[in-house]
Parts: sequence; C-alpha cells; structure tokens
Amino acid sequence: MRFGERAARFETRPCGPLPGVRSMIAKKPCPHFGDFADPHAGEAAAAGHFEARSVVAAAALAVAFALPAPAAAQILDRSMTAPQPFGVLLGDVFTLKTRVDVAPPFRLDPSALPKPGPVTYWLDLRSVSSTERKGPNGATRYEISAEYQTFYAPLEAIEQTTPPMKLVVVDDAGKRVEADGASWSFITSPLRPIAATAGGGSAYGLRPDAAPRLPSLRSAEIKVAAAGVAALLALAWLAFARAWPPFHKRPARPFAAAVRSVARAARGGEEGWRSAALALHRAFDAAAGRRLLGEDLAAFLADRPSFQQQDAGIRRFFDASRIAFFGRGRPGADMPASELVALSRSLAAAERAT
Amino acid sequence: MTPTSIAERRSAGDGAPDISLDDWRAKALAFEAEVSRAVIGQPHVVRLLTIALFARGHVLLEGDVGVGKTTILRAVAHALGGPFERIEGTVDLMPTDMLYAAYIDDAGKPRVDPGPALRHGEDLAVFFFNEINRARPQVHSLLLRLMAERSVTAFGKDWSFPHLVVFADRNRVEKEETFELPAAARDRFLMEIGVETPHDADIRRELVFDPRFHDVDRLIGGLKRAVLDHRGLNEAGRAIQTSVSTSLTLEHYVLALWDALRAPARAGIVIDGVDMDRLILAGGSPRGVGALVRAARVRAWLEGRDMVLPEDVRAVFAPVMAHRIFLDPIYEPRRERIVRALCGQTFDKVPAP
Repeated sequence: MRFGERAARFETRPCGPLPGVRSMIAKKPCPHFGDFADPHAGEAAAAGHFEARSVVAAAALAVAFALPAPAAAQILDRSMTAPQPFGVLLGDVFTLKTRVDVAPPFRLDPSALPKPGPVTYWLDLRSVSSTERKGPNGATRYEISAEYQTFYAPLEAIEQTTPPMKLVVVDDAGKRVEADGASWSFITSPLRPIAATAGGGSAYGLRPDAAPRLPSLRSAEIKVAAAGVAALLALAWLAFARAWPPFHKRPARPFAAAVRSVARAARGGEEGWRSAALALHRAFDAAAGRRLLGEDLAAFLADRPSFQQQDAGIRRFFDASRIAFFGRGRPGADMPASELVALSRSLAAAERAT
Repeated sequence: MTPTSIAERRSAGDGAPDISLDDWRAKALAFEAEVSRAVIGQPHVVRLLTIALFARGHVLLEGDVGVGKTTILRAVAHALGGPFERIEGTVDLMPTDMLYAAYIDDAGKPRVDPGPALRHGEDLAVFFFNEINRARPQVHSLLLRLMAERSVTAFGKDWSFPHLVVFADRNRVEKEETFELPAAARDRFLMEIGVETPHDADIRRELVFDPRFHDVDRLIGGLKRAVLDHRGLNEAGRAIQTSVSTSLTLEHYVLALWDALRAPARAGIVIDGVDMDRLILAGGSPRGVGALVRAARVRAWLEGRDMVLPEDVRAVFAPVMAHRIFLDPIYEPRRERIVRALCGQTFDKVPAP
C-alpha cells in the first residue's frame, strides 16, 4: 500500500507568514494538520501497524509559497498537498501534488519538470505527471503529481526533506521565469530497533522467501486425459465405421474391403474386370451371409433398405456379371470398370448406414 | 490353349436346330398355366414337372397322403395329351401284371391281352405308377428297364416306347408292407419332387371349401387336352440341350457343387449332430450330375435365356440330386432333414461365379 493512500487530502490556507523570495520551502509540518482528524482513526487503530500507521489521522499539508517579485506576476499561486509527514518507512511510496496558477500568456514548461529517476542517493522519483485546467481570475491551473519512493534506512526516527521541484513558466515571446516548488519534510523511522528484541529475534529476523505456490494441475490433467481418450475413441470409432485398418477385415463391412480390391483389380483389362466382379460378388455373399445369386436380389434388397438406392446399379452389375461369366459377352462390355468401382464405393457408403 | 467350355466345343460341330424353340416355349408356358388351373399352390412342382418333360426324364413324386400327388400327375398327363396309363402298386403285383392282362373270355377260354404297359402300343406317353413303394422288387426291376431303355420284352418281341415318361408316386408316411426302391431305380428318376401341403392360408381355404377341388375327375376333365404334342418333346428336348449354352465358369461351378456333395467337410459344410466325414457314402453319380445340367438347361430355356445360370442349377438341384445322395446307414433315419441341409449349405458355401 502506498503511504498515505487512504489519507484525506486537504488544501489549507498558508500557514505562517510568507518567507522570503526563493525560500518557500516549508521546513516544518503545518501546525494545522492536527485539526483534521480522520473520522476512521479509531476503528482502524486495531489493525496491523502499517495499516494503523496509514490510517492515523491524515495530515494535510499545505505549503504556501512566497513568490519573488518578478515571478509574482506570472505565477499567481502555488500550493502543495502531501501525505502525513511521519511514520514513513524504508521503501514507502508517497505522492506530492503541487498546484500552480499561472497567469497568461505564461504557461508551464513541461520539459522543465524533473525526469523520473534518482533524485538523491536515498530518494527516487518514480513518475511525474501534470494536468491543466482553467483557474480563477483567468489563470491556468496546473496540477503536478510527483510520486517518490524513499530508500532511506534510518537508525532512529529522523527528519528528512525532499528537494524542491523546479517550476518553469514561459510565454510565447520566449520569456522564461523560474520558481522553486515546495519541499516536504517528514519523519522516517527504522523498521525495528537496533538492539535485538528479547525473545522475538526470530520473529523480526529476515524470513526466507515465501515458497512459490504451485497451483494444482490435476483438473487440467484429467481434462486433457479425458479429451485424449475421447479423441482416441472417436478415431477408433471412425476407423471401425469406415472399416479402416485394423478393422478393414470387419465382417460387417465387406463392401469397404471390396472397394480396395475392386479399385485395384479394375484397372487390369478383362481379366481385371473379372477379378473385380468376383471381389464384389464375394462382398455381396458376405453381406447376405450366403452365396447371393441374381434371383435373390429382391429379397436381399428388401431386407436392406440402405442398399435400395443402389438398386439399379446392383441389378446392372448382376446382369453384366451373368453375361461376362455365364454368357458369351465380353467382361466389362456392359458395365465399364469405372462404373464397377463407383458402384462398390456407393455400396460401401450405403453399408455404413445399415 | 485356353480351356473352352464343353458347350462351345460341341456347338462348333452341330448345326442350329431347325425347330422353333420360341414356339415350344410358349406352349410350355401354356401347359404350365393349364396344369396350374387344377393344381393350385404348387407352382414349383408344376415348373419342375415341365422341366422333367422337356429334359425327357422320369419323375417320382413323394409326399404325405392326400396332398394331391395323383391329381398333379393326372393333370399333367391330361394336358400333355397322348396315351396315358396308370397302375396301382400293391404287394402282390407281379411284373407280368404290367405286361399282360389274363382273363377268361365270353367263350370260357383263357385269354391273354396286352397289359397296362402295352395296351396303347408304342405310342404310350405317360405311364403312371401309383404307390410305387408298395410293389415288389421284381416289379421295380421291370420298371427299371422300362425307364432306362424305354423298352420291354413281351409276347416274344421287344416293345419300344420312344415318347414315354414314367411318373411314380410314393407316400412317405407308411413304411409297413412297402419295398424301398433300390438305389439303381432311384437313380433312373430324373427328379424326386416333394409335394407338400400349400402354406398359404387362402389357397388352403380354397382347396378345402371350393367344390371344384372335391371332384377330381371333373377337375381334370375340365382342363384343355394335349396342350403339348408329346411326339415332339424328344426333338424339342434335344434342341434345348444344344441351344442353351453353359460357360466354362458354370461348368466349374457345377463341378464345385458336385465336389461339395461328395466331400462336404472340405467345402466347409457343417450340419448339427452329423459327422461330416462319414456322412456321405456316394454323393451323386455322373449320370445324376448330367441330369442336373440337362434339367438346368431346360429351366434356363423356360426362363427365356440361352445361357445357364447358377440360379437354374439351384432351382433343380435338390429334386435332381437329393435322391442320388447315399448316406451312411446311421444317418438314413434322419435323411430328409440332413439332405435338405446339405443341399442348402452347398449353395451357401460354393461361390458363384
């Protein structure tokens, strides 16, 4: 949590008389801050020490700037808002907000703002941003938000001061006016006393790094395994349905097996046509569970509605086969080999529907 | 040299038959239609009888009592035309009773006239032997010659019956006082056709309730006579055998069927409760398989084809082959069931083409 994150922010009246020109750094915390007690302080005090620290009555620090005479005409008003100025520990991050009203035609030169990076050996500027809007009396109001992080390791509670930020305003004619922003003093404290705390050494000592949490992959592993098994089953089912190897000898898919031998044999001229026709006959035999002759086709088809779409082709094949094997016709004269292959493919497809 | 079918080799030498087989086919179908008017519910029996007529083979009808065996044969004989004679098989029937009719004439002298087989002379078309298994083996022996050679010797000379077909029937219910036909006699029958009660309920109802079927004489008498010319059947049969071709594939197929009958175990045929290795004593003679091809050719011709298909072989296989299969004696009591399964499985196992 950022230091002072939950603190209420106030803008206050300037406290005390304006210092001299260019010495506008408020060295002391504003005496008014005690007036603005956090309404939640009581309930939050029971929480952890950092938590408590952060919710202790928020300090609103308003710093009034004393403007040098020449600049006063350009920079009409300056104020800074800061978090509570004590209880800051090593590594805390805090944000200082500076509000500047600039009289036209002057404007803030953003390139003159400090760049993020080390400011001193113990202080880093983490980021700077500025916004611009209309202010009172025709002025332009800039709000510069600078985020710092302290790396100061105090041995006892000690006051530290951030260096002031330089503000530069320019006009169109190239006239340039510089002024210093406010610095901020705060009390920073060690994390623990120098002397070892009796009996609590181990509690305050450096603890080993928290072991990385290993989220359980079990559910993902189970899902992957289940998906893998399902994919394998689907593949096996597909192979079974299509009579791919190792199911290519499947008794219930004789036509799928025949497609291969028919396609292979059909290219071999008349002899090939005969072998292809024989392969198809054997597939019909296997499908019928006995030797199927042409006269049995009607009963065969009646029992197998899925083959009925191929009715004409099947009858044509049996007629062509009769003429080729038992008549005087030439094999393949009545039904070209390509048609034979096409028929066997359609039958294999129809067979899957049974 | 590539193998050629026997039909191709033979037809190269023969000229085309000069009779119109198409006309004969139309007549054959008309004949079937005529017989079917009297015989309902038995279309396959009528078809097989027609095939037997054109294949010039003799037929044995077998079946239960009262299923219409005699009616079928009488209807066929009537529609075929030509002289028809019948004889009843009895245990005391002697071979001479078929050839001679001995009686005392008006003058009180003993006379011997030609018996049933000879009464119509050599033009006899159908000889119908009823209840053949009641006759003695001597009678079977004479019948054997009549069937095989279509001739007998009587009155000191040889009688020849070129147009004769023998129809016989046998009821399979009674076994007492019967004489089983010897294997040689059974082999002479082209077909043994089982006649069964029709399964169709409408046909059975008609058979029982339609008075037309109660008076068999009227029923047969109402049929058209002589739809076929019995004198032309021999020539037509020969023409069919030459004009209907069998391819090399079919010849191999028939041989494979024959092999399966002779060694069913090797063909993968399995029948429940039967040791397939010892089942068969003889699985069809060459004469039997020749008859099978002859009948298959006629069937192909009746179907309007000039080539024999496995379907033709299958249609006539059981009637032609079943009674030529001889089983080990321990399986004979279950013969009917076993042979039916054997024939059925033969076609289930032997690939065609």
